[in-house]
Amino acid sequence: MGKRIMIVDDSRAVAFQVSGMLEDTEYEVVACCQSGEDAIAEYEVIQPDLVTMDIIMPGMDGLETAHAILEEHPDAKIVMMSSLAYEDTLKEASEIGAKAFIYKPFDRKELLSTLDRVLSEN
Amino acid sequence: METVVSWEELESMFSKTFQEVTHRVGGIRLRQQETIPDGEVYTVSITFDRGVHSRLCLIADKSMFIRLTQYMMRREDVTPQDVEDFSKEYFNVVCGHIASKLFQTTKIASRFGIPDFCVGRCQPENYREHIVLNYSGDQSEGVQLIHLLPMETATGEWAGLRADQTPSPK
Repeated sequence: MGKRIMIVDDSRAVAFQVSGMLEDTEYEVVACCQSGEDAIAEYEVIQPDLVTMDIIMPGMDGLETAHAILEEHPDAKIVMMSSLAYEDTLKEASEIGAKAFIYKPFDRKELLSTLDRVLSEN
Repeated sequence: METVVSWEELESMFSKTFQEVTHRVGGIRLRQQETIPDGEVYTVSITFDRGVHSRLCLIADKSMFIRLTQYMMRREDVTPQDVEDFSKEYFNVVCGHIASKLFQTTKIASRFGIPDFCVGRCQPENYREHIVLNYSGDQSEGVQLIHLLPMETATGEWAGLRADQTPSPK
């Protein structure tokens, strides 16, 4: 069975793009959530190997959502994705416990290398 | 801290970033020209609501948005919902890069909301045009990027950023 990925992004476009990039790889997209609230609930059920998390979302943003998931599941592997990459945002993501940050737009190679790296870490 | 940014610097930053991201994300090359989009157009816009308070609107021929979506989805057959979703995501990336460039110049961290999409030319009330840039896509699509400021900042104060908001006489 492939490594199980959950995508959290209010944009259906990102879920489509990430899913497409992960086709024919060792990764399997097991859930796509369009809000932070859905992601927290879905994480409990699915327990994915890794979560890709948008930052700007209506309602709970990605940083709040990542924080909530990591409080309950300190071993969760979360990769933040955003077109905004201020130093304070990167710092906050790192302090919360996010494992990596991908700056949009990204390509397949960049996505796969980030997932490989994060999932190979203990 | 007061930061002065010239109108020309802002215009150049908007234009360069917009063209670069449009090519990278949507595969479309834009060249500046004074043609205003007409006919069937769509609008996608974003409000900057922290740091710099303003709004950025992209108005372009429907054909440009369809081509952009086809490129991003890597397929010819796209639905109106695809066009809306992918145009919003593309503009989200454009605005993220513009906010990052603005931060490099001003050290003001701007935040923006969720993109709006509408059929037709949709410009919000209570805003005035600050920078208007016109382009032609490489298949002759009309494209217009408009930076709007709230009416109440007409004296030039712009949420901490003090900018020369009018072009210098040529």
